[in-house]
Amino acid sequence: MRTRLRELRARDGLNQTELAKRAKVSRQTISLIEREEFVPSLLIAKRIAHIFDETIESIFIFEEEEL
Amino acid sequence: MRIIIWTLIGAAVGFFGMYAALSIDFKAGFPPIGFEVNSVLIAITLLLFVYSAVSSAQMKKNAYLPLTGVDEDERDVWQYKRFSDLNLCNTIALIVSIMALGVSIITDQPTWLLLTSGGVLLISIIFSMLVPGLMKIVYPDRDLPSASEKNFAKKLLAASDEGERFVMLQGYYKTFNTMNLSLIIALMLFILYSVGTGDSQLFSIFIVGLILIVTNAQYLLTIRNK
Repeated sequence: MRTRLRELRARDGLNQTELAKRAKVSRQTISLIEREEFVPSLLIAKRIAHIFDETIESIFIFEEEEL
Repeated sequence: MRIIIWTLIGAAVGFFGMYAALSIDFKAGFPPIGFEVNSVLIAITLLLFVYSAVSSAQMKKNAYLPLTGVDEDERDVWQYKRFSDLNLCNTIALIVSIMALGVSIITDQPTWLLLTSGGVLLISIIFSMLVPGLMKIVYPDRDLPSASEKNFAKKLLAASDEGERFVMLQGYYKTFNTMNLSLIIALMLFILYSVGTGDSQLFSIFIVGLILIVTNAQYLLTIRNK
């Protein structure tokens, strides 16, 4: 899974700590997702999508073979 | 074929290892150096205390710095790593101080050294009770349980989010496997020591065996019943 989290944070001027607070998770979790080492649950993905006003699919991009 | 070769190599290493171990005079060395070992263990614990105290002061100082942007993230990374180091230091200090007290009692050291070992152990216990409180300073916005609360570890796990649990799971799984292997090696060493010295380590062998059975049963029953 690829993620556009870093790009979207830069766009909205958010650091990891601020995003973590808004998504009600730890900064460590945001960092893991950004490094593509952890696939978040649907709830967290939804919260992140809501913060950036994007769809889940446009932030978390899966390759065809992963689906 | 490969399995047979490895089995033969293992058997050869085991045979010569056992032969070498049985020829070592385990008993000769330890009691005369009990004082030195005890002193070194106390010195290690004291060094760990100093590190813990300095780290804890730095963490408290850093927690109140008004940072933003990348600096805030970097501070969080630093605090997290330092907190992990501090936890490790305290755990090592606690174990080493128990070992120091054990050496002191078993090798019949002077009363002052025995009391010092006891004092160091007491400080280790106090430090290990204070460390969880630091979490509240490092993460003031989070609803974390207090160290004095009942079922602190369980509540702390419940307060962790899924990313943190993912990291913990990786750590616990590695630790569980390492501990299993280490305890089996410990069992072998106890048997070797018993045979080599004539000092029965049966009590330790049964305790370690019991720990292995209980922990593995607990793990397997937990995953089996889900």
